[in-house]
Amino acid sequence: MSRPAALEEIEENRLMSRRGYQGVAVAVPITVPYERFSERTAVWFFGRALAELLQQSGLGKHDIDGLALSSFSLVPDTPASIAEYFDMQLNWLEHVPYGGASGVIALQRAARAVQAGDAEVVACIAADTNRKGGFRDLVANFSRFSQDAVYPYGAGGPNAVFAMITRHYMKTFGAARKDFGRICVAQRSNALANPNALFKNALTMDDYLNARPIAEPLHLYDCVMPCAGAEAFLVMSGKRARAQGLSYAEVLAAGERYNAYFEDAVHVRGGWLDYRDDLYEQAGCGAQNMDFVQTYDDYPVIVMIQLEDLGFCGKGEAWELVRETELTWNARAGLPHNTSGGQLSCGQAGAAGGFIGLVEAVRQLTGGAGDRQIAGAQRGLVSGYGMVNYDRCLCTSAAILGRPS
Amino acid sequence: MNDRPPATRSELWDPPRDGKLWLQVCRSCAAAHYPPQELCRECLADDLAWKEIDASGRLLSFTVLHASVEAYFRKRLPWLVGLVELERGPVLFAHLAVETPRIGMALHVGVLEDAAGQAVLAAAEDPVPGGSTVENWLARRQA
Repeated sequence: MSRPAALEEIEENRLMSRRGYQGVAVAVPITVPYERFSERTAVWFFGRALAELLQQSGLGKHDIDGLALSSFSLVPDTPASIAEYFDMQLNWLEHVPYGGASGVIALQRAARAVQAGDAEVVACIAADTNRKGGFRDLVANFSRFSQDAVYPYGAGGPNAVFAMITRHYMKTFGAARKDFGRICVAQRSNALANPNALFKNALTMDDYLNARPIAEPLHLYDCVMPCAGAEAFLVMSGKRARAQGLSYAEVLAAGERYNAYFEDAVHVRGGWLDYRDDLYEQAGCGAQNMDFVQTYDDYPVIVMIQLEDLGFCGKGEAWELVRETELTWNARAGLPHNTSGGQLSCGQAGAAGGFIGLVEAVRQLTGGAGDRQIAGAQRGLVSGYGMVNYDRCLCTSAAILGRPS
Repeated sequence: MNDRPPATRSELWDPPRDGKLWLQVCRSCAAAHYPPQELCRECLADDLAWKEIDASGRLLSFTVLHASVEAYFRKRLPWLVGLVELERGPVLFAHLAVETPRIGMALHVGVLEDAAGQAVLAAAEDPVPGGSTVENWLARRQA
């Protein structure tokens, strides 16, 4: 059934007049050091992130009039509790419960609030604690679908689901374990230049291949290690950032989708595919122009799916791409990927795993990446992926950031 | 300590456990549902009813678990689970009673009771027999 001409025109006008993210600054990338386990609450990690944001920016609490927060372990508190815990009066408060997609989505919500004038300076923070047994409690109660149809089968979190997605990908496209290993080994090499990474030892391909099986074909180094920690950044206008004397990255493009391609029996395509052309058009550049890419790396197969859907290669070709391409931060002719070490080598600090790539991208674009700084990085892509309720993640997000022109 | 698999379910998941495949089917549009829910995911009608449906499907993918956060499964590793796509459409996460799993193989899925007294899905090359728990059925097959 075709749409009436009037509706076609309305949609066309909407797309033509849709506002980009020009003029929005992302600044002050913060990481609250990760700990394997912590007896503190998520509130402690939120508070420490906030303190660091203030200290690094020179702003006072009263200057922050918006918060966008993401956490799995804040219960029984809520985002409004954070304002109360730290005596802040806010004009704007957003909860971003999208797990691994939450960083870019927080940025998008905050950017729109800043553009609309609803908030001036928004602190985006993802924080989680990890008590012993905390991971079991999280996965046992993650969603109704999981409670009824995944957790009782011994799956214990997303390992089983992603093992099946990985096996299906290998069978369909011909990827081998070693191809996934290249991603993990390169990220560990990146992590060795990141003092906050929980993994401090080099990882060889032999280590990777000989690791114990977790959920075949996934082995130990295909899986992230749950931990406690926080990641944060500030969103404001470029003008406000300059007035404050802050280095910042500009938002060139952003996109999000939920439950994309739900008709696929097994997850092989993510929502990124549906908006990547729009993303590059908004940014006025293409995948080939990215100086780095920070993907969501809960499992390396998902890295491959993102590289494909975001246009770095065709569908089913990422295993060839990673065979031919260096992925370390200092890869001269390659594609620097997850330059902080990513979750696979830093740890997965709950919802902060959905912020780690964005925070690293801002570091790279503001010259704050320390020993792993990519010289002259001008533009980079960040993507997110979150919320496995049954047999795939439901949320995808991606943004292109650039050094201010 | 109780040696039981996780017992928590929503109140929605309570089909017969006789080895046949029971899923919620919409009386308004005939869509079959899994995991269970309150309204039809396609037409949103409030008219779902448990029905025995064609149990045949094919194996989309599988994994052998070597780790679990649940003590019950840790004692019984390695443990085989898979995703089965029914000819009717839904994709089912199920215990697999298959010696050599292969992607694409034809399977039958049925509902059995597990050691926690809850309904679970199990899949095998032959139709799933009723009259036993999933654990006893799996043990008999391995013997």
